[in-house]
Amino acid sequence: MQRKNKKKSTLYKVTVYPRGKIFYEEEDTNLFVALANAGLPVTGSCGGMGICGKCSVKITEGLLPPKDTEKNHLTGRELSEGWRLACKQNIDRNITVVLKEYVQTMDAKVSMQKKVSVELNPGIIKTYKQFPIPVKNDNLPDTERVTREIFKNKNITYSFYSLRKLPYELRRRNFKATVIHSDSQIFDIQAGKKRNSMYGIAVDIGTTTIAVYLLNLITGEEIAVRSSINPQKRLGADVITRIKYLHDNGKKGMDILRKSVVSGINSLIHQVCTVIGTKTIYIYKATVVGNPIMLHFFTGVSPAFIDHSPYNPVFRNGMTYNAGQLKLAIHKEALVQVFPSISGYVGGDITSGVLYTEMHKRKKLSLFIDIGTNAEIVLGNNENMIACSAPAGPAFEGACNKYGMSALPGAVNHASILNYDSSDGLKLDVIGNIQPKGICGSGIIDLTTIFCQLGLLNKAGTFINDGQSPYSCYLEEMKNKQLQFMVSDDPRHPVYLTQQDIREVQLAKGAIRSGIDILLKEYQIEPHEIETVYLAGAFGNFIKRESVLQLGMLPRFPVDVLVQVGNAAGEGAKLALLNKDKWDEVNELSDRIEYFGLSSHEKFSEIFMKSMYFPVCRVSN
Amino acid sequence: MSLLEDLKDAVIEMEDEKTPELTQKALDEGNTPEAILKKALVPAMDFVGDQFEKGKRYVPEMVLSAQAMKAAMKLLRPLLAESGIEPKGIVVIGTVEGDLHDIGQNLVAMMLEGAGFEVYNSGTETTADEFVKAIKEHNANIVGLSALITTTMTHMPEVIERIEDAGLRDKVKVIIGGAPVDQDYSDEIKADGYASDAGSAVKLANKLIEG
Repeated sequence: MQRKNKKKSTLYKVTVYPRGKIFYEEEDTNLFVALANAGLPVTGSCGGMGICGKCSVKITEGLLPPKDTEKNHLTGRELSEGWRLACKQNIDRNITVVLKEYVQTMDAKVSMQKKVSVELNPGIIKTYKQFPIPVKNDNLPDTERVTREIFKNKNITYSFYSLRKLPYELRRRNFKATVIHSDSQIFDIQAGKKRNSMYGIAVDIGTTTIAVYLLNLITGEEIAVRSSINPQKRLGADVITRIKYLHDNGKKGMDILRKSVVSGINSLIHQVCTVIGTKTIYIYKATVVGNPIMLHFFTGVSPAFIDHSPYNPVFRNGMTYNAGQLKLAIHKEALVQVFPSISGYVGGDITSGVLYTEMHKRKKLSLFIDIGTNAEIVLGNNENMIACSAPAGPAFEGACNKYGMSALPGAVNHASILNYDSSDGLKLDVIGNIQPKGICGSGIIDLTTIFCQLGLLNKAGTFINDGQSPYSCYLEEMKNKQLQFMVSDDPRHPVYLTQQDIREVQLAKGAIRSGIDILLKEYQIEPHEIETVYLAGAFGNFIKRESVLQLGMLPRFPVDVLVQVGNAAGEGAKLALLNKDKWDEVNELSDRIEYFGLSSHEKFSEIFMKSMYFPVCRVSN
Repeated sequence: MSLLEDLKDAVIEMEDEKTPELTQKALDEGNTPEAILKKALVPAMDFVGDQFEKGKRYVPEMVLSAQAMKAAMKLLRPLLAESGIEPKGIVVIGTVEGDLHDIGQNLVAMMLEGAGFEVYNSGTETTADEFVKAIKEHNANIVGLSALITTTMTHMPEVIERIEDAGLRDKVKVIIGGAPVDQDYSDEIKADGYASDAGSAVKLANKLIEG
């Protein structure tokens, strides 16, 4: 993979259709990497490892015989038509490729909540004043002229930007000026009376999706929200593949990773501003949440040592910078607050979620679970809190399985069984009410639960076809002798749930459940002592609470204990945006959360194994 | 004969509380330790490995069967050593530096043991030097490298290089496994083979020892 003794390299021509783009690459560059670097839409969830099989392209010039890995992912027909995996092609000849039809879905769903209930105190103030005009013998510096008026005699700092503007802006309108400041710093000064517009943004950087919320800092209203796919995704679907990209490309890689996430955010900032026709320079404050790796990439700090034991992040604490330093396209002196993390794998998205739920203030115990590729779990109350990160894998994100997809139109997102005794009672909910194209995480959970009820899965998670259920007729044997369940029989888009998918569900469920069980043990409490269980994140919001309980992903809580809080990370970021005390609060609470590394628990493997079993719960009418 | 059948079934059915008792009975009936190993334990683990490969069994069941087998081996191992029976091969296995994922490699270790290999498990985060040291110490002829992260798999070629530097490369076969690696990668780093799961790892080890 790494090349030694770089020889004088030859350049080869790469032509890409349908866009007709032509570029040249050095010999032995990987085609997947080349396409990604050229900004072309090539999908891949494994970051070019030949595992996911999603980066297939049709090669019309420079086609080579398929490698074994390619044979595993592509059908004989596809191979003969010239389809190959981009990540398995080294550019050692001129190549012409045709990309798969690719639709990048902007505006992934983020539920809109207008009212943010918190006392309005963003800590940014716009003050218009007539400052004292210098008279004879009045040699007072300009800075003091301003500070005395606004802050009495308090010590105040000026940003360079405002300091350099100060003399001219003061004198342009005869010492009438508008000052934008916090209680300790002056960010900007503008001559005359300025429009009383002040906005702030809350930024939620997810590994998959980025969301930007625009809030009015004077009224406290939420005005707009826009989200998009994280542009880093083309460099790798998950954080580990992105870190691998960093290892392979060094400083340049870090720069590409930082730029792609910042440019993604900036483009959303422009979009939210267009909604109300305001300018981005009226945004004076930003709060930023995300997992630790996203926060490292965002700040341009290398997380290169976070992916392997002993998993060292570079920073953990909350940090405040100005927007110019971070290249955010808002007022360049705007205050940017990057939320505190707890460890290398429990980040600012989680501290923000805890802030939102206020579990850190209550005496009664709460459990907070954010389910993604990693499931972060926090347990505790106003005294002690403990957190862990459980490796759930890609099952719920639809990344690994062939028919898996994100929660986009065409995804089966729910399933229920109306009749256990005849084969026509399986009801599917499909996003957009169209023919199903695939299954998203919540759909996989529902279907797996149903298969257990129908007796199609045994305790160990193996499909069994004993003919006892009328639904056995949907089980088909695959080439590898494993069974799969036909979810939809549309000949153009058949959808199956395979044995391998069930295994992924077992891994995910096993990881989450063992994480919860180990935290409960560490805290020395029983499940019934927990008053509220918060399910956060998009997936946590879509799943049926009954299904996760029946599947045994959580201990047997009464269903009402489970509260789906949606994008808690984004909500927490909004709170801190509107109220500066919330920023202090989240920093304080993050110091109180103790991190517990699951893999260091001596019984982790054993508990994990046990948690992979499914409850046997055959049901009939 | 039926006693050996029972023992085989007990391993397949994951009954670790039954296997020591059945093993003792089999010994009392006059079966040699070698016969018990070859006629009951090895075929049982073969069956389990095969089922795993076909997707009929999964990790938790593999572990339980292996534990049942191990409970029997506890009785047999000293007897096998006494009777001077050579193990099929000596294996050093470990997860490479920086990697804490060991469920898969533990499975491979157990399956190899069940197939008659002597296995030394170096556990997680084994450095190249530790691998070399273990190979020398146990006089191993197979070394198994496991990595579960794309960023730790790059330690594999390092280990192979270090084995070469120590002049041991002709003595040991290197086999690799773990989610991010494949046969292509094995070829690239000049390992002796890749196995996708515990059952195939046993087959690969058998092939390499015979070959």
